[in-house]
Amino acid sequence: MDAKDLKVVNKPAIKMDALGLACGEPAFTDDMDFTGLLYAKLLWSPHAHARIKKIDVSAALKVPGVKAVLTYKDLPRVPHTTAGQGYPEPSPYDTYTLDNKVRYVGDRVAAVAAETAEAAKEAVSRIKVDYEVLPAVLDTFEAMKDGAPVIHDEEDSKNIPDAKHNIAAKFDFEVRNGEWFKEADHVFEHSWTMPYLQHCAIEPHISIAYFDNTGRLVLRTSTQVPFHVRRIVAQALKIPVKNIRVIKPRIGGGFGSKQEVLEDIVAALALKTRRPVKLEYTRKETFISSRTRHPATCRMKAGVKKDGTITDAEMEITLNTGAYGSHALTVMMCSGSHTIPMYRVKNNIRFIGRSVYTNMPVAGAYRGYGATQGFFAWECLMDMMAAKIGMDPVEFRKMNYIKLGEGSPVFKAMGEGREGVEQVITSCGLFEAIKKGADEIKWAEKKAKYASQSGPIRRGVGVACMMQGSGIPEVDMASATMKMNEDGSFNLLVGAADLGTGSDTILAQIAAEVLGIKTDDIIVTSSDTDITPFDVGAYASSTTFISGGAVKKTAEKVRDMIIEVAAKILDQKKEDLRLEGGKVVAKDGSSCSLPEVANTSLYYYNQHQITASASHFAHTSPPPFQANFAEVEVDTETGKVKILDYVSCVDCGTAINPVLAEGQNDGAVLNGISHTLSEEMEFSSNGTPLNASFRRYKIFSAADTPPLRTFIIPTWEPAGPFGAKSVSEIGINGPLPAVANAIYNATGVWLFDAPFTPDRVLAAIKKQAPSPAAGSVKLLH
Amino acid sequence: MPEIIVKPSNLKELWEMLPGLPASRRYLAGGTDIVTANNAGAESSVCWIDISGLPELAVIKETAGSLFIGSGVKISEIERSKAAARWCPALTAAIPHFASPSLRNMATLGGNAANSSPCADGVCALVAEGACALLALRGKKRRLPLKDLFLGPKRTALKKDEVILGFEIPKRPRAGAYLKLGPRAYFGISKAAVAVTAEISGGVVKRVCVALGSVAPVPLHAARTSAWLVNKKLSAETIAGASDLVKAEVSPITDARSGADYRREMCGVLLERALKSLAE
Repeated sequence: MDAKDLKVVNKPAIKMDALGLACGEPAFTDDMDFTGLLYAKLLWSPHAHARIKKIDVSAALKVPGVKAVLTYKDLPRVPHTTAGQGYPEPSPYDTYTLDNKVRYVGDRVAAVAAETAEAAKEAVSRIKVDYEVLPAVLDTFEAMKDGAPVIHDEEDSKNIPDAKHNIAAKFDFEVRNGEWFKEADHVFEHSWTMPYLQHCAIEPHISIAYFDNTGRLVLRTSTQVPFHVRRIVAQALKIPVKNIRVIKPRIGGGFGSKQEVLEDIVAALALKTRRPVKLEYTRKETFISSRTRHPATCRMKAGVKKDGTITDAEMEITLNTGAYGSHALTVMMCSGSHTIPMYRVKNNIRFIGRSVYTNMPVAGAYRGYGATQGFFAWECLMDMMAAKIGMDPVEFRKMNYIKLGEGSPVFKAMGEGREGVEQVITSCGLFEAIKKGADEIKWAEKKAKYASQSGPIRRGVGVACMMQGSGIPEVDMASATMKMNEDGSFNLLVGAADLGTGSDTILAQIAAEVLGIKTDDIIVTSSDTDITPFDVGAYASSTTFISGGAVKKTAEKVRDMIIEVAAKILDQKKEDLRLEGGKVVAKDGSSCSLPEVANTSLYYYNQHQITASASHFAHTSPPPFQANFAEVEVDTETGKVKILDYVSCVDCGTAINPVLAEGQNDGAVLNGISHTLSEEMEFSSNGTPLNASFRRYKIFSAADTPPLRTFIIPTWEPAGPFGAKSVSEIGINGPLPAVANAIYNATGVWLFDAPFTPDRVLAAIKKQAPSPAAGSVKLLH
Repeated sequence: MPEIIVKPSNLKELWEMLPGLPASRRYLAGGTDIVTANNAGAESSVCWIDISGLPELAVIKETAGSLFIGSGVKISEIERSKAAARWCPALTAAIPHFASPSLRNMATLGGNAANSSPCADGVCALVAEGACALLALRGKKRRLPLKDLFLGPKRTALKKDEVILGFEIPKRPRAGAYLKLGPRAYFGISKAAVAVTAEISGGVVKRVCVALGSVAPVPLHAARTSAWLVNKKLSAETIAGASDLVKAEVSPITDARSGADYRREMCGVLLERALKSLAE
């Protein structure tokens, strides 16, 4: 099959929830009213590390309107992880709904439910806590030392590899083909760092817990993982899975932060009060007490021959997982598994990964998932090697990137939290992506032009290439159910979680393509654990590839059932029939409409509901590829970096919906640009966050957005639905290395620490050229 | 939120109203600072007096020697004013840096000045314009050079209940510039800002006023640097000299937005660029 044969897929169908959302129709978690609703507020720890010696809630309970105050004494003590991952989760079980110990400023201490938000707040302020303040450790390298404060000294946590040294996860791996760096003409070694970052989804974490008429607990919640929420809440509160229903309404963005299961506490308050309870994080709480990106120090050492052969590569990544090890192992492994295979390494490969506990906010899943941290190092190192051997960075990448039919020992050695799967590249448009990007940015012309510049304002161009995955092979599974209605429309029920990504629309397009109908003849329901079949949820760039595969299989089953009925109506052989334009058409030109088929099956002949379900998982995770090009202007007197142009060419296989795919990529790139130039959570010396608001933590707004252009480079992935791969995460990995490389091209100065704020850029320039009077910055190439 | 918000319809009504109001009271002009402070829990007055409707504060008018900009005029109205564009070159250059368009529709120079933040873009520019503040308290009026209004962060020379009526800017033909270094291209509080106005004749500086934002406890009038520049030819050497001098005149701090050393150095760079743009 080829993309040109497609009628619905690869076309810009209108996002099915767009009009309603634009008109403000009630859609989100908070858009529904509940009689007798209580408001939840949490008491957060003011200390980075402390034991609760005494906690007195009597004054809080006396506040008028207060219905419940919960402390660790009121809840079962169940070690679990908040990481909403497939079961059994590869993250350590080190978290308790409430505990007698607090491990960071912003950790949960107690929870209140009251008739009004004001009463809840008042009650929180009246909880008296007597803390035994413990020494805290905020730095990963300090935390690993002998004698450092032990953050998880409790007996009952599970799967912590080395609690004494605060190591939440570790993984080492080596491919050895001879002596290290023996063949290398040049060897490089540097470290790159990334700070604490927050997802900044516009809708904060919000959940409403209530009861249905049979007394079952219903969680209406802003989540990426409804089925994992059901399972983990059941586990944490020791209630049966069958007593919980999770409903995911429309979601105002997640980016990984809502792959965390934080619903246990609002569920506990509802169970205590038997009333509906709402918990909505403020922006400050979202910054401090939800989840963040794992800050990283990534040391890389690599060798290169004069001819451009990469001989050896070693990556040592140290992630700060904060107080709890949510996604500690998997993000760390993905920082190597998604990045090292990008380029062929002739002899030796080594990966050393550690995720380390500190008394800092909890890290978790965040778009890019380790690849962002790893590619910053790998792609900057690529440019250093190219510069040293005098090769154009574009040509150096073209020579070394993983080609069609090639594999990597890393694929097998490193999966997500366990061994991976062997795979070879079955689709790759990177060559075309690089070519398109170089043309659009005018690479050769600008390189030549910027080679001789004077004055304080310098310009430069940079390149960075990326890959990611499409779902987790042999872990992620999705399913779908379809049923036919008498007017020839269909209900499509999927567990897949549309968080604003447009997955409902593209899944409908896939089904419509199979059934020869229009996208708007499909009514999508996603997701409700009582109604829709299982899906691991929206993460790991899996929805199009895995859930899309399930929808395609389901639609094919439905198509066969339709043909079965139509064969009787038309008195034709099944193999002579096909679905087209809302009809079943025979080779001889006779046809019957889909409503006729539906009515026949429902009312006239061999009465039955045309309905089917199917599931899908994959043995491989075909990577999407991307070439990024940035043109920057660096003010060498102020250190200000301006992005003049950013071109991102992405091979996501067949874009099921090219407009939505471009939007996903534009968003990911802008998110990455904001990381590159602005975002950074700041902390005081005792671990208190200093800029937990949009006033101080600056994300790029529409007005700050530089010209950024996405080009989709079509390929056909044989393992994907209609040739599709993923597109949601890859774009965020590009800006840091592409801009760093462009700054080097402009000034001859390397930047190793994100974000590239004016202060930091100027300091780097001065370090290299002690007195940069106007025009005196020396270009080093 | 305060317990009471009152809104007098003119100055006379305001003065009549005052004795009956709780002692813990504050004026509300555009509300862009006071409401944010309230949301952050940093504002505890019992009473807000909404002066945004006072007609006496809402005018821009020209006299023979000066331009009067009422303290209650919205920043977006100043943005559209031809008189302001003609007589206030530094202020005109500063307005695009002033918060966001939506905030410019609410904010006023009076509020900007009374809030006395060292990083206020509008006020810093007005200091460079050599503006005077016109103040009134129960019919008693006084005139104060704007630079003397500020005593420290959030502290002004305003007496209790004293109202800023507006600002008088001398009508003299001159050039001006405003350069700001913020956290991102749009809508951010400055790390450092420089405002300059100068009357240059035959390449020689006749009058000049340099003001700086975010690098001292108050919107800073760089008196020494300004005085040093007078009667000098605006050559590369003079510009470099002024740039060195201004670095010694500022007293920046390290905070969440930037480091002190970086800020000090940027004052030099920004002043150099501002003066160069005037020399061209």
